[in-house]
Amino acid sequence: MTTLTLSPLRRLAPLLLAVSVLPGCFFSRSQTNPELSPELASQIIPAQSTAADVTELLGAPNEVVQLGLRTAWRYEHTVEKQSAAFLVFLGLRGVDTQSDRVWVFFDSEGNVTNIGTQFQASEAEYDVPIF
Amino acid sequence: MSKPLKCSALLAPLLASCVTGDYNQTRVYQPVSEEAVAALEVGRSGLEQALEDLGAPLQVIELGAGAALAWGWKEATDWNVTGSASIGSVRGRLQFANAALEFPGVVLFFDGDWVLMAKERGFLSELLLRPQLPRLVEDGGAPETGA
Repeated sequence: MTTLTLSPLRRLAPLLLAVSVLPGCFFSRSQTNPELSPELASQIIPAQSTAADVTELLGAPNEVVQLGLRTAWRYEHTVEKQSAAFLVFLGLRGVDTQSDRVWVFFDSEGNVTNIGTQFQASEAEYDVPIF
Repeated sequence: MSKPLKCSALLAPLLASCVTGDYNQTRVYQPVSEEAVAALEVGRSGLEQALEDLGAPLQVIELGAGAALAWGWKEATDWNVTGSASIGSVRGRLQFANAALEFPGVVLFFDGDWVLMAKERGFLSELLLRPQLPRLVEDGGAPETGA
């Protein structure tokens, strides 16, 4: 009876093939501004909170928009996740950008009139496209 | 023609020249609910309902006595193919890209009392590029400024 054995080189062939076809890949994550806390944002109450309360809770805004005598402040935290695979002549790249964002609207006296929030920064994903 | 020879014949043009491609998938933010936008009533809905239903906008812009609030998102895939070749001392390069540069979204227009006056869908670059109305000067003087 004869036993067929693969030479070491043949056993490594699939791995070598995979390495030659997939010469590179990368993952990166970047973010702008500190995270925003839903708990802190929920403490901002229209008709009760003031500009001083908002700065105490969230700090300095990223943007102030003048609306006549009124203002709106924007707070934003952004997460970008990027992943890519480089085949021999083809690169596949996926970029996902999501953000936590809070807009606080004030009257002319600096009292909060409205607040809008969304918290989606944690939903950013690494996703290499497959077509 | 033997199989290795056929493969070599097919690969030869690739070795003599170089063709590379990129396939990109981009997602920026997330779309707002169609139903929530449809539920907003022009002339009746206010800022509170818009923020409650659509979340925080991407942009807030002063527009005359009122304001425009924009929500935007993008989900796109695009190709970028580059080919180059050298023949003697002449080198040529050809590139094709079909990147989607537009940013679709929804813009809500409010009057000075935060009543919804209009809602529009489209590309934000077009919706927000309309001529800016003159800034409102309210009675009662300018806001107090720190000394």
